[in-house]
Amino acid sequence: MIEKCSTLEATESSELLKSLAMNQIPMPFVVVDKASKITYMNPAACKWARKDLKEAIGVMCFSLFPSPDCTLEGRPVSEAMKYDRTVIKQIRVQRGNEMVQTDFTAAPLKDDKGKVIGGLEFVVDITDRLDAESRAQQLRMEILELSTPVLSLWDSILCIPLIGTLDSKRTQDVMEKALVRLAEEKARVIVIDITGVPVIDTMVANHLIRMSSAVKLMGGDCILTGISPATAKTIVHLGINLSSISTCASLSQGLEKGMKIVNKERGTQ
Amino acid sequence: MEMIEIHIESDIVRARQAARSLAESLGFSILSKTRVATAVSELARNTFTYGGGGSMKLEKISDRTRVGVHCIFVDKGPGIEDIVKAMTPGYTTGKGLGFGLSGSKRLMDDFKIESEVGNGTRIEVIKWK
Repeated sequence: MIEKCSTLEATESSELLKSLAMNQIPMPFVVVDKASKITYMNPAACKWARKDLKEAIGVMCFSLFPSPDCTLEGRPVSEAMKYDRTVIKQIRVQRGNEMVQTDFTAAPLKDDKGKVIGGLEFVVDITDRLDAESRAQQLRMEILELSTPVLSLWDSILCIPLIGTLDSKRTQDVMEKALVRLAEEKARVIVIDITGVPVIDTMVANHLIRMSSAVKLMGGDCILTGISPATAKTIVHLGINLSSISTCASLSQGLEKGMKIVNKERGTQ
Repeated sequence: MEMIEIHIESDIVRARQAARSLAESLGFSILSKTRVATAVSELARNTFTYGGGGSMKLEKISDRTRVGVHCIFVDKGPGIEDIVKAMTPGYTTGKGLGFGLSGSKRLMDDFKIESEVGNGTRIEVIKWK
């Protein structure tokens, strides 16, 4: 029988399969009656609560799985039984001495006539997922830091290759960095290349205009490069006036223009 | 059909990317794709900044001869007092350039705006291929 079962072929052993599966579901699973007293729980739940099934039966479920996030009335399982629907909540549940972040799912248990006779509770430990999410968030922040380099392109010429989305925070970062470098390196021209910016909307344009006027205030010049034909046409349709910024189609043309500015000033000195 | 909630700044990017990829799948030209993405970016930003967040409904629309991208932005914000004024290029109550609404109207083919003070704003736009 067991041998048959291990190959998952036997249909007649489905009862056995069910009980094997039930006992081996790795997440805690609890069945309660309408008064929230435990009538069954799987081994994973017993392990979580550190109780035998015998000890657990008849105990109120919230005393074995206490959560500081639930009031007596607001428990997921009461809500599930009361409103006859599945309830999923992110709550903390105590396990031994520690507090575990969980996805707590509660569903009504119904008899064959559809009458609610109790509730089902599933507990999924999401500590690892939350950790991964916060790590991802941290990585995003780090990438943001790295993603706005200011390069020295030529004598007195700086370059900022902008890639990706420009939000307020990022533009602020770039602007600050660029102005500091402009002062530090006594640069004359900043070439801003926007080939890698997918959309120039009014906000991005506004940021670029402000950046350009800040550079001008410091006696520098801003050259905007890398505007694609589609972007150029879209900017015109939007009605934005970028004429206060000098622009070039490509980075190399921008560099050429920057060098002209620098050389011209040196020539007249 | 796709619903995109707009509650944080990065949701604007999601809205824009969704609109752009829908336009792409319908075979829009590069220019049209850029127009759609830019207009959606503007309108999603309005929803986020002035409407206090909301949602965008994005779907394909078609009639007998053509297909297009159809977006509806809904927020439950303070609403717009004077729509005519708000649609005037260069007019803004915030820190922007004031070309968002008027510009999006020019970028899209159909543009419908409804707003009630205290009850929020609904903007519906279509760009045909």
